[in-house]
Amino acid sequence: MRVTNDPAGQGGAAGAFAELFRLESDFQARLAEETLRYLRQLHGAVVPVAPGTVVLPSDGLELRATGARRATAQLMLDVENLQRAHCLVTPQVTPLVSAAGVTWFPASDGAMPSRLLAPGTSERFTLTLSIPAALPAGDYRGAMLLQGFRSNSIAVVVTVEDESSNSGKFVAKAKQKAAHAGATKTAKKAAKKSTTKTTKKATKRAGKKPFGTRRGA
Amino acid sequence: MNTPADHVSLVDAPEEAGRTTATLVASLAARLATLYAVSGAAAVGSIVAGFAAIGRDYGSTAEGARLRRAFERGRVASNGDALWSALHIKRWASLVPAAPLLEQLRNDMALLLAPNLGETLALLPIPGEPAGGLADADEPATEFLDCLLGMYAFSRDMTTAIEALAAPTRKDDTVMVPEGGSGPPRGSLLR
Repeated sequence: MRVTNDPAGQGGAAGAFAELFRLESDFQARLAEETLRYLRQLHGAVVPVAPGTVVLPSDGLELRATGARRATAQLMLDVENLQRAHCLVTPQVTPLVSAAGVTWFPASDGAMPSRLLAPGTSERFTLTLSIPAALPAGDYRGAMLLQGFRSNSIAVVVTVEDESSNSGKFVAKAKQKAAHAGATKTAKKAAKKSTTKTTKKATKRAGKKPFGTRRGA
Repeated sequence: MNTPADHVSLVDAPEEAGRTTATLVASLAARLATLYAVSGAAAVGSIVAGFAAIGRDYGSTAEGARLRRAFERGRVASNGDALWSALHIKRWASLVPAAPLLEQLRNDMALLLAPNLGETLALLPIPGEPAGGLADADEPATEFLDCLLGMYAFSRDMTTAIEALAAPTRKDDTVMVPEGGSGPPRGSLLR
């Protein structure tokens, strides 16, 4: 095939020339990337292994907590050390996100619950999360991470209720109805309507949009 | 009250020998022995990359994300990135594998509490296990902010661990009374 640098159109020989250039630059970039990767792997292969720890959650584990705004929610987790050596455990919570797109960066009360667990012992970790007044009611999903372990993530759901008991109760009741097998569409709508109302009220009261709130939420 | 479902167990990684006093001693000894075989740049680079790896993990937590945002708002992040780039720290630290610093800290702390350390040390030399194929080659580049967050998270864990080591035998007495009475010493020479 004759390769030309004639700038006539995209197709034909000029297209082939550009394609050659593209392939060559892709190859060079990939070569550099793979060489770095290979060098790192080579270094890593001779480094001594540090015996690690794997987190083994019970089947279908999902930590749940409920709390009203301006109050707290407590996440509790029992951690058992089945290894033959002591283990330092530091649980942390990731940002929690609601279905409406609101992101909550929970601040935990008090000191970081870090513990040194002896072999064969079990301890309960309690993370107390302060629920901000501006946080719209709803279910917030995220994870609890046990820092420095492998496969260290545990699913977390925090249900934030409205501090005004009437609408909170209404939401909870409506959600409970919807959860039943024969849930009617009306209950679901009522719950949604009430949640939206509460969210709007909270946003208005706070005077600003909470972080991560979508437009019109 | 917690339901039985809110429970996790900490177990050994299936592809490894597990955390015993012997393997922890072997790992520490091998780490020290490796220092003679690698350059200072490789050793320090590996530690820097290790801090960045902790920082990436910690940055995904609520507390870490808040701290990260605070750095990003000020001049810390931009100045740090400028230094990182001008001194080629990113390229240097991205070339070497990240040291598993938290695991090493946890393992070293466990050795200090091991009841059979004396007998295990008598068995030395115990061959260390190289990481081999277990080494993670697909780590992201070592960034300045990750390293900063990692150093914070690591030092917090280290402080907690050292406090926990001292806790069982620690006394917070502020006054010490000598044994055998509290009066001044008496004798013919002391007048």
